[in-house]
Parts: sequence; C-alpha cells; structure tokens
Amino acid sequence: MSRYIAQRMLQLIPLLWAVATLVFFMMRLVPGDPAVTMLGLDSTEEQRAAFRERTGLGGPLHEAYLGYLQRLVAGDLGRSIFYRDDVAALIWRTLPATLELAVAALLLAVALAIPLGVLAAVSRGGFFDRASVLLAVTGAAVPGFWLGVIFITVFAVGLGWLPSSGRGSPLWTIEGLRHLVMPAVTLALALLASTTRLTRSSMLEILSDEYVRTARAKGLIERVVVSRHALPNALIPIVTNIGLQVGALLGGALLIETVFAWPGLGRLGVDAMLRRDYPLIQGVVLASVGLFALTNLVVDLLYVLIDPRIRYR
Amino acid sequence: MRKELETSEQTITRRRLLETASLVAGGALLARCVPSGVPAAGTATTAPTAAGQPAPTQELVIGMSLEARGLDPIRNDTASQYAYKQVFDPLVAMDADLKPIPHAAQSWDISADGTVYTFKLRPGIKFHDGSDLTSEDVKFTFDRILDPKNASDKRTYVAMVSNVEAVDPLTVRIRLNAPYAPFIYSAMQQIVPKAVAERAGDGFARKPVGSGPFKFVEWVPNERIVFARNDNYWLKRPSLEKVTLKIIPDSAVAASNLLAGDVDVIEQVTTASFPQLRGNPNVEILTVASAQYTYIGFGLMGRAAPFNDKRFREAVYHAFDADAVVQALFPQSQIATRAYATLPSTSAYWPGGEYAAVRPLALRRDPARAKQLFDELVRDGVMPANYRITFLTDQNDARRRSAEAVVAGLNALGLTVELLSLEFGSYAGRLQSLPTAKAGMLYTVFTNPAAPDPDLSLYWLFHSTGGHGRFLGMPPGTELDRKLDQARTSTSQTERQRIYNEVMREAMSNVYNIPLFHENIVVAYNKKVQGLRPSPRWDWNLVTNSTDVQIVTR
Repeated sequence: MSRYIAQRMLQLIPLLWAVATLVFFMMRLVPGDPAVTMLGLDSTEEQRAAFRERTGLGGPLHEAYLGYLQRLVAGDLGRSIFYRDDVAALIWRTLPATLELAVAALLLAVALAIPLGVLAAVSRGGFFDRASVLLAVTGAAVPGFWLGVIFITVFAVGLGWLPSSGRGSPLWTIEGLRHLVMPAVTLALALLASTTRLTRSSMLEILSDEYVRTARAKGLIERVVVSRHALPNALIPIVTNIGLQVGALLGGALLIETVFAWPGLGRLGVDAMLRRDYPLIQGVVLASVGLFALTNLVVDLLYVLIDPRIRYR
Repeated sequence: MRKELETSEQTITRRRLLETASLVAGGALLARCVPSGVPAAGTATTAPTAAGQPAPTQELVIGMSLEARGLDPIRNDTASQYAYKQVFDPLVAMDADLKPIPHAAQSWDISADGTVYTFKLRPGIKFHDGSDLTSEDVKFTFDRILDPKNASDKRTYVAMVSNVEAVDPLTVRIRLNAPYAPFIYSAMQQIVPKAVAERAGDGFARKPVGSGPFKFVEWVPNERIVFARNDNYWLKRPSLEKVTLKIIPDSAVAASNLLAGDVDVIEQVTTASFPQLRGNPNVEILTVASAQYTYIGFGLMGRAAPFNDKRFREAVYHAFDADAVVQALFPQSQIATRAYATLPSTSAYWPGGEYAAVRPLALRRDPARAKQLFDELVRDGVMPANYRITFLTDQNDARRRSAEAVVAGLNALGLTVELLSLEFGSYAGRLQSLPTAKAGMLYTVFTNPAAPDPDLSLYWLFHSTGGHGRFLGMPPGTELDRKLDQARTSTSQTERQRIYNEVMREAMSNVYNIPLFHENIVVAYNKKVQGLRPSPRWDWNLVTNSTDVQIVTR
C-alpha cells in the first residue's frame, strides 16, 4: 500500500512544478508594481528602487525563475515581501485555523446533509423531500457574507452568547470552540446544498436497484435496507463530492474568513495578491494545490474503505 | 458462495487500510492528549475602590482594519505605526496642535543656518531590558534608516541628513546637507536600542524592545498583537495594564464587535456603520481632522493638450457639482469634509495660511459655462470634437463614485469619457506609466502628508520631481519648482508662509487639480474608555504628556 501512496505522491511533483511555473509567470504579467502597492503612491522612485533591490524584484526574469526553482527544490518558499518573514512559516501558522474551519464546517455539513438527503430520497415527493431540498437550496442561495453578519448581529451583539469575530484560541479550548461556532455553521450551510442533493439523487438511483428489492423481499425492515444496503452503495459519488469541497475549502473560505476575521489561508492569499506579494502568492497557491491533491488521495483511499471491491496495486 | 480473500502484500484491501488508519488515528489521539498551555481570555485583577465597587480591569482592546507588517520602527506604513508606537519613545513628540514638544529629547537647538540640530537627551530613560537610552541608540536609529542596505521606506524623510554624531551619552548632533525647514518632524523617530536590534537582526520586527509605555507580549499573525504595561515607564506609570490590537478587516464586523463589547475602540467608522454607532448610548464617536487629501488630477497637464489648457481644466471642474457629490458620499460630515483647497484650513498644516483668500477660487457647477469652454477649445483646435478621455480610478467606493459623477457630467456635455475602475495594484501601475505616456488622462488619487508641514503636501503634489507632481508632466526648473525648493530650505518662517500662499493661489486659480475631500480619522469607542485622544499622525497616544487612557466604571 505504501507503494501506491508513494506513487501518488511522486505524481504530485510534476503537478506542483507546473503550477509553480504558471503562477510565477502569470503574476508578473498582471499589471501593478509591487513596489507601488506596498509602498503606496506617495512613495518616491528612490524608495521603490531600494525596495526592488531589497526584494530581488529588479533582475532579469529567467534568472529570477531559475533561482526560484532552485530554492523551491531545497524546500525554501522564499520570504514574504510584505511581512518580511519566511513564507513557509507564515503558511504553516495559518494552517491550524484553516483546517479547523474546513473540518468543522465539513463535519457539520455532512452530518446534516446525508441524513437529510436520505430522508428526502426515502420520502420521495413527500414532506421531508420538499423540506430538505428547500433547506439545502436556501443554504446555497443565501450569500454567506450576509448570513454571517446576521449571525453576528443576533448572537454576538443581540444575545451576547458568542464572540463576534476572530479565532481566540485553538480548537481544543472552550474559547476556541465558541469562536468557531458561527463561522463553521455559516460555511456549513453553504456546503449543505450540493451534498444533500447529491445524496438524494444517488439514493434515489440505488433504491430502485434490483438488490434493494431483493433485500426487501427477504423481509428486512426498511430502516436496515436503507442504511445497511442502500446507503453504502450510494456513498461513492457523495464522498467524491465531499473530497472536492474539502479540497476547495483548504484553499481558504475567503468571504467567511473576512466576515469573521478568521485568520485563514484565504485571507492570507487574497491580501497577498492585492499587494502583489509574489513569494507569498506563490507559496499560498502551491500549498493550496498540494493540500487539494492530498485530499484527493485520501478520498481515493476512502473508496477502498467504502467499497470492498475496490483495491489498488 | 465462497469469497476469495486476497492477501497479497501488494494490494490495498479494506482490511489493510483499516488497520493502518486506526494506527495513525490512535497515534494522533495520543498526541492530542498532551495538554497545551492555553492562555485564558483575560485575567481580571481588580481591587475594590473606596466606594466598595471592584475597579474595572485596565485592559484595552482596539480593533484595527489593517495588520501591522512589522513592529520595527523602520517601517512606515500606518498600521505598523499604530502598533509599534506603544513600544517605543520618539526623540521629539507632537502636542495636540501638532507642534513639536520634548520627549526623549528634553531640549534641542538649531543652528542659525538651519543645518545643525543638537538634541539633549533626558537622563534616566531605560529600555524594557533595563539598559539605558543613550545618544548611541539615537545615532543607531537614524543610521539604520539612512542605510541603503535596510531599504527603509522612511529614508526619504531623513535623506537630507549628512551625519549623526553621538557627542556625549546625552547629546546627539544631526547635520543636514542643506537646510530643511520641516526637519524637526523628520526627527520624530522612535528610538531603537542598538544592542538589542543588532543582536536580533530581522527578528527585531517580530519581538521589539523599546523604552515606551508598553512592552511587547505576543503577536498572533492575522489576529492580534498584545502589549503589557511597562511599570518603569519614565514619563508616568500607565493606567492600562494590557493593550490588545485585534485585526478586524471588515468595517461592519468591527462595528458589531464594538457593540457586542468584544472590542473597546475601532478606527474604521464608515458612512454605513456611522448611524448604528451614533445611536448607541454606550458608544462615543471621535473625529480627528487630518490633511488626507483626495482630488482629481490632470495627467500630463504640463505637456498634453487639452490638459495643458487652463480652460479645459476649468470646464471639467464646472461640469459636475463637487459639493453635492461629497455631501452624498459622506452625509455625516465627520467622516470627510469637502476640500476647497489642497491644504485644509487648520493652521497646523498651513501656518499663516490665507485660506479665506483661496477658498473663493473653488469653482461651482456650471454646465453652460463648461459647454462654452469646451466649444471654445474645439474652435481653437486645442481639442477635437467628440474628444475621448480616459478617467482612471481605483475601487475605493468614495473615489469611484466621485469619478462616476464627473464622467456623467462630462458625457452630458458631449465628451466621451471612458471610466477605468481598476483594482489598486493595476490602478497604481497605470498611474506610474503616466510620465512616459502619450496622452493625458483624468484620475482620482489621494495623498496623506507624512508631517504637518505644507512642504510635505505641496512639494509632493506640484514639484516636477514630486511623488504626484511627476504625473503632471511639468518640465523641471519652472518658477513653481523654484519656489517650492526655496520654501523647503528657507529658515525664515515668514518667507515660507508667503511662498506657500503664492503657490496655493497659483494652484487653485489655475486649477492644477480639483479638490474633493479630506478624509478624517474617525474613531468609535466604548464610553468606559476615558482620555482617548488619538493623533492624526497614526498614534493612539495612549500615554503621553497630557494623556493616560484608562477604563472607568459607568
């Protein structure tokens, strides 16, 4: 098994190289001078020249690119121009917050979506079906930004039950959990829709399959038919979808992070982009791509768990 | 049916996967069980007051919209300044009227020719590590800003310094290579301990050590910066025990934070959040007038037709109603005030300023007159009929909407204006390319002078080598250039006042730009915070000669 995993990890290398190259060149094509975005319009040419000198932005492009690749291979992601700190360290520091939010939101979404989707499929056309679809679609249609501010106004300002923004402390403290609640719920509601609908349609398909009819004919109660015979077979597309969502989340949930002042990878990346902080942008993109690929690997391994017919060599 | 079990070493089967996964999970769980030292939300150490009530916790939480980039005073951006000024002492400070007053330097004198500044330091100031603040530290502070290797953004403001000498442990002599009238403002640098900074290198920006009212405690990136009281502060013992700068990027969320009591002070109050805050009985709003200046510029007005024709510029000014636009953008005039001239009327920025004489030079909306002027320009061949202009703006709400108003006004008069509203980086790039462009263009832009002296505004805006002056494409060595150079080096206050008044009159009557508004610093705070008087120069002024912010019971 380790051979399979090792193979997958090796495949990551050309992918990361391609992404790194793409980002490197595309960014420099975008108009906007980092010296001006970071020093401001009020800066003088002298200040900007000194800035370019210090950050190594002045030299010929191919040299910069080769230098970048060399350092990358050695594991050095460079230094952020804005923070004047090591890019790898900056990203590493935002990972706990990003992971917390992504995982919490995802668990909440899945815990809600799968039962809802199953209920919807089972009651096909009935009350639960319509209700769950309504909930899911509302969650997708309502802008996360707006919902977040409403939550803050009601639960933080109005009732005073929860803190209004920020992360406070790590996940395993009460303080941390209290800060995590609102952003995670807001984000989960947005994820709910696709997973619910996918569960519903996947289940509908399975429930009309022959072996389900067989299971019922055998005399099993409906609950067992649904949960132990139908659902596991419906899981493959659902797990794929969740995997894709996690991958995207690990790039950071920008709007939620902005509303709740959550110190995640999304804000770090977008702020870096607006400032033209090239090394940090490159680092964040590579990190996001790497995390996405890793998530896909985990999802693929999960398939083995779900479906005993699947195995890798 | 019999199932064949595959037990080959190579294949990943469900069983194998489960075994591995449980091992990994078990290990991770074990690691998690190690308790981590998590700081509690805040320690409440209170002592009962005479009235028998417990004294309120002296902890202040300030919501900041931008995060400091580094806590090293070599950095110039405003967010960093707000942060590191808790930790350091400036050589010279500013009072409420923005006049220089003694601080770490208890006195100074300036030579008759204006090129030698001698500062006498106050004895007994200690850094947070116990070492004394001496002239060596002051010299080190200026030298490192001047050192091109450090590429400090502040270098421009002290570039005229030729030499810094530590005459004796309490005396510093700074020599300039030419007289520079506003130099005392450039001398307001935060003093850095030489020994600590040299040892720490780049790490100093993450863990600063100064002599100021608060010591640095921790910095959680993208979240908060925490400071604790310096009990041995030489000026006075601060009332506040702890100061936290909390980063809240969104202004609506900042307002919510304030209303919920999660922060005590916020520095971003917008038109949207103002009414909600104003209406709340627990919140006070404070306005600090600033010289921030937002205006519409005429790119390449030095050489490109029709921008170089005063009639064109007057016509553009007449084409829209600037008063109405600013009123609509900022219904609460505390947030921004209409600018009628480049410099505001407050004397701090324009000592001896003839604001009353310059104010009437602002033009009013007059579409008929504008049409007349445009027709004249076409007739005289200065401007083609159906002229196409580019109007460049960034995506800041106020600037963009101002641009839209001007565009609408001009389009109604028969011109074709293309509005380019770009994200800041791209916008700045376009602006930067102006000096070498072929055609002129209109643009919105703002400037925030680094010191309360007219030189910092007018030189920037109108000198041919000025940061914004370059966009005007004026040839060097004009009469205007000469005047600005002269005022900069003059040692006579009266002469400087006279020259700046002339420059202002010339700029306003020739419509070198169209003044829009001055954006003030608006701070909202919980009424339990007493004594807050922030400076317009990016300083919370928590503990100064005349302030000592504290939390009171209400």
